[in-house]
Amino acid sequence: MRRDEEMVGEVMILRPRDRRLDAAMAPSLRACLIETIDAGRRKIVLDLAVVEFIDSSGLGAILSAVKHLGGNGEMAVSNLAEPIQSLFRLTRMDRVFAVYTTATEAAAALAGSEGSA
Amino acid sequence: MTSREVRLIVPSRLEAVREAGNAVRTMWADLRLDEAVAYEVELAVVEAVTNAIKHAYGGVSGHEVEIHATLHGECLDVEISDTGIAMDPRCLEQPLAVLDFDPRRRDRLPEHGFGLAIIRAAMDGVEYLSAGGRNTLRLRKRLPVKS
Repeated sequence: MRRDEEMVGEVMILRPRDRRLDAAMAPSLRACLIETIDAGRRKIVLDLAVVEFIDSSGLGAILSAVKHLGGNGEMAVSNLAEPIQSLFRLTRMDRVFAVYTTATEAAAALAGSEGSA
Repeated sequence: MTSREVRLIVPSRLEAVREAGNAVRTMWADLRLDEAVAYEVELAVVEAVTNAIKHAYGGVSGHEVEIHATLHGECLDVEISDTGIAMDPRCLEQPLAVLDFDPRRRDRLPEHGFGLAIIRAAMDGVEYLSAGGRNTLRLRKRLPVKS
């Protein structure tokens, strides 16, 4: 998956460059997140600034990564377009991980966290 | 608002789901739909096409999924049809059950099954018909058009 990665302290900010996270993209999104976790990154911000569309397959890939983290880390999301925020509320993803307006806010929050909520 | 009809056939490959989503969005671009409503319709169609490819055709390419959209006044009907394995109609009885999870239990978070819940929540009407080897998910959305 095309993406940018940025480390802010111990927090990894991962920014997908694809505008659609759908069934065709979900396997590579999942693989990218799992690789990041397996490389030892335990605090991850998924910044969706350029993402315009996510479907259930994209959500499933993100949930798969959250499960892979288990109780050993934190994941947050940031920069959700309004329709994607609605989708997160509809599917109750906003109860699974914290949603922030900016990646900077999300990284600051995760930097101060100690592990799983 | 005048009536309109659009038919689109996509191959049973997941890469084609994007094409279906783009087509749905451009179909109604000139109607100046509310952004949230346009997203809901696109999302429901994408979920339905994905389900047809993954489940009706088992992810096997070489088949077709048909999208037939009809606009009547301010009501949009979209039918997504395949000729694969029919869905168990009971799947539509409690589509929102997948959302009843405990967010604190990460090990039990669902990774699948959100598609029908999203379709049900996004659209005003959902019906499933299977007859003569053809399966059709019929979706209806009432469109609040921007003035």
